[in-house]
Amino acid sequence: MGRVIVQSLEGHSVRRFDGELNNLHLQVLGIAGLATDQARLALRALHDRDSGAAREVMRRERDVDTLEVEVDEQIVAMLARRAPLALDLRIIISFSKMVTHLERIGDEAMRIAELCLRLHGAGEGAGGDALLADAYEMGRGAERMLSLALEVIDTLDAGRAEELLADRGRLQLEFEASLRRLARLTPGDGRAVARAIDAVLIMKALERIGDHARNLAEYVVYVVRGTDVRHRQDLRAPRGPE
Amino acid sequence: MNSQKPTRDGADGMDSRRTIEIVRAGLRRRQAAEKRFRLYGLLAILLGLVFLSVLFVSIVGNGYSAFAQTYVRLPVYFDAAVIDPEGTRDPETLGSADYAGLVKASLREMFPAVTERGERRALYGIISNGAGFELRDRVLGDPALIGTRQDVWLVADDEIDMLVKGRVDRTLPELDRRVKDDQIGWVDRLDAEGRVEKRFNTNFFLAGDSRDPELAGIRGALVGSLYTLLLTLALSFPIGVAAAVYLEEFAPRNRITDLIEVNINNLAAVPSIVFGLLGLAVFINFFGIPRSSPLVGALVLTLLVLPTIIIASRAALKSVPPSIREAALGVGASPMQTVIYHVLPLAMPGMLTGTIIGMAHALGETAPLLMIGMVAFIVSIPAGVFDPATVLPVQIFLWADSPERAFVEKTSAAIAVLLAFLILMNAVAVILRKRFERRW
Amino acid sequence: MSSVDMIEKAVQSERTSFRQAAKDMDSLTRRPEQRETVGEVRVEDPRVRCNDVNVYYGEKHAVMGVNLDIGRNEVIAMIGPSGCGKSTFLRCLNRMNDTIVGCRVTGQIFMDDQDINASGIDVVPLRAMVGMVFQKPNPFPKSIWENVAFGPRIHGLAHNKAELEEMVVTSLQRAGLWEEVKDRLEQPGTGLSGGQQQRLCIARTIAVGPEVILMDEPCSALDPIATAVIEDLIDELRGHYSIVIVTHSMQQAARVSQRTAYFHLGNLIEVGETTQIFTNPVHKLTEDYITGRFG
Repeated sequence: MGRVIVQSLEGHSVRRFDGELNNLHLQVLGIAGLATDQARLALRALHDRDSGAAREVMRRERDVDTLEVEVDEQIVAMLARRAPLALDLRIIISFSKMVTHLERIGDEAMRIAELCLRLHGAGEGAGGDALLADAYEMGRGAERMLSLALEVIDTLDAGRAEELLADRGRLQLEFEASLRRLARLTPGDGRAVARAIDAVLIMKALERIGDHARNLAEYVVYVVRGTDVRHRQDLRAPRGPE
Repeated sequence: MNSQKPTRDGADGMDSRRTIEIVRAGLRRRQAAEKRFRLYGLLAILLGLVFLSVLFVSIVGNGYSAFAQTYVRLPVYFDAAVIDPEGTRDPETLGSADYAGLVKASLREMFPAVTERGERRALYGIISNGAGFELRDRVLGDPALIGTRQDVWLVADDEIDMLVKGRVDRTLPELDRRVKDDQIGWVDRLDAEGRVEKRFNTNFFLAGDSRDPELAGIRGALVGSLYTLLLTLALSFPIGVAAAVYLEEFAPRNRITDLIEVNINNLAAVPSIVFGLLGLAVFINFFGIPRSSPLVGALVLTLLVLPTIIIASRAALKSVPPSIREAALGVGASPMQTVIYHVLPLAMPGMLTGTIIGMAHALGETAPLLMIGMVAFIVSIPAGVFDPATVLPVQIFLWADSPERAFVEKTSAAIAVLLAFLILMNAVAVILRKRFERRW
Repeated sequence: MSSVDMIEKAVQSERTSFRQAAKDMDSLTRRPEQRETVGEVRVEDPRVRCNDVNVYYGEKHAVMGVNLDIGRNEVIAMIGPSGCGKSTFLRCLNRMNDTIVGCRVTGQIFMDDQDINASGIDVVPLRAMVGMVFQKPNPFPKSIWENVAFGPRIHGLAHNKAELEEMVVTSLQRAGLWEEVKDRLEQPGTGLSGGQQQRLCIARTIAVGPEVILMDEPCSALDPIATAVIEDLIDELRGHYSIVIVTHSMQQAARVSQRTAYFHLGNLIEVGETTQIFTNPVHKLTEDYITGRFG
């Protein structure tokens, strides 16, 4: 059931409120786009051994932080000015939390970029490379989730958000599989171990990005359905008459 | 219409003047109009004041002299042979003696030169016809006076009164005057001897009506007015307030109450003489209430002022904010408790004002009272509500109709008294309003 | 565009506007339909139970088939746009609608298993049990003392002067006004500030010892500080009374009430826990109203 909620951002008797909400939505989308882009760029740095891309990620990290602060200020102002209730309240509160998660996604992207730079500086290593290939695969998964999250934030489509929530744990499974592979590896070569650890850290970061993407989807579900689906195994059935 | 539409938008090219310039251009004209407007109001008030002062000046100017009365001091011999020939001191004998003869004798004594019959009659005319009654009252009050000779102040005749007050033009030919040359001569002589004096006219306030202006007073009319008004008040206030409370607070809004309301308003506009006719037909002819009595007058006036009181009371009740009623009902007061504890006290100033204005109206009413016989010539002062009586405005009407010159000033004086009462009543209304008025 | 086209178009638009007008007329003349209430209208052991309450002003159907329970010691807020029937419904609960000409109430309102609309029920004891506080503070133009003592006096609640005095003092204390007026009980109640006047009205209401207090927008004439004081007071009074409050301030409803009822065009649309209503209302109309998307 896809109650398209984007239109519901509008229609207030106070027209300015419509504008403010839409503006906020666009800004959140902007951060989301930037954070997704950061993650993509970090993955490219990993895959293509592109140090320039990694540095670009680190340079743009500050932009994400600035945007987050801006959006938070706007949210505080709106809370004070409009005293929003019901849907408006859920939207604003959720946006506020989403921004935090998006900023964390940016943080994780930067961590990946840092690790990439370290790996690029250290040269090649056979076992590690296999791991890095795993990490890249995982990264593709994380990226998919992230773009789905971006779409869901854009359209505020609870159905799609629930799809995202449904494939919970896939990244985690992959991460655990990689860890097992790491355990099989364990050669005496200290350098290889260091690379392997870096690779695992990258995978951990990717897993976190996946978690954040799921969190974003949870907030979208909360906005639309008004039910809190965090920390819940089952997803609630669609509710209520119009 | 004005083809040159002022616009603020210069791009229109129609008129690019700014609003402020247009406003300034017309400002002088506007201010002048403003001033003229205020002036009209001021003029209206001034005109009203002028008319009012003309009225007051003419009434007071005509009437003030009525509050003084000319007295003549005569040496009167209370001749026992005339008053009490048998010496029994029987009050009946004393009462029926010829006291006027004593006065005449005294005058003959004063002016022995006057012997001719016509001249003598003129001489006797100096003193009022009522002088004999004055002497009788003295003798009855103190029989020891009989056989003595006393200097007594006696009321002068109204024409002489006019002469002394300077209202008789001595330059007119004798035939055009009511006071003859001889009389003027005698009065001047008495005056020279210090036997003529103007005193405060207590008679005016203490006596009833009379054919003789110098003896006529307004007490009968005042008492009649008082009885009538008190009765009117006692009848119309409770009835009016009860009717207003019922109509305003309890009556359902339907055709019957609408009809009643319309009729009350119409009743207020019915000419008062119609009420008089009604009173004559119903109260006097049907119920047999004595005519000319304050009771029947009060009944008629009650009918007359009831609409006023009901309308004023309803307005007063309407002006009580509904929130007060809601508050009282909200704590569980019954409608009656609400009305008695809260609505009536708040409406009372308005009701009292309306009632007093109605009473003032009743005090000045004449026409309906003419219809029920209160116009009769009544000398005695009414002792109760069933006695024949007259009222102030009717008294004024009667005097204004009388030919004697002295009644002109009596009329004005009576009007002044009536106005004083009206002003007093209105003042009471204002004071009551100020006193009981509450803020809410 | 040719002139024929233009004429055609004009005729067309004329036709549609005529149709629109006909539709508008239809919706005006047709009575608004009755709707189902969303949410749980019943509570355990209610203080007041309303079954299918309808109010008509002449032809106008102002309140339509409202079922609602009012619990003991709860504050229930009634919200909704102007003219939605919430005040009218409130005034049913102590039959204040009786005073309005042409107003007819059907349905049952039970208090203590007694239908207050039944024939033979006197409104005087009912109103002693269901007190009311009005939108505009309306103290009697009498002294503060007289204002509070009026209710106990007309109902004969106090047997002597001391008892009456105690009632007045307790009521003023409970209304949180005692400290402010204890030195000037003889002064007129109308001389107090707006907030104090409203608390005086509350004291006057509770002096009678009601079990339910109806409040019809009690703070709409007050400044925010006085409003806060009254809201605090409402919260305290909840321990002793059931309170039904009509308010136009959503924030106020959210602050003082435990349950909230949303009225729309004479219908009770939704009832629920206040937090649920204000964060996640079920009905679209409720949500539109609460978020300010009306009209």
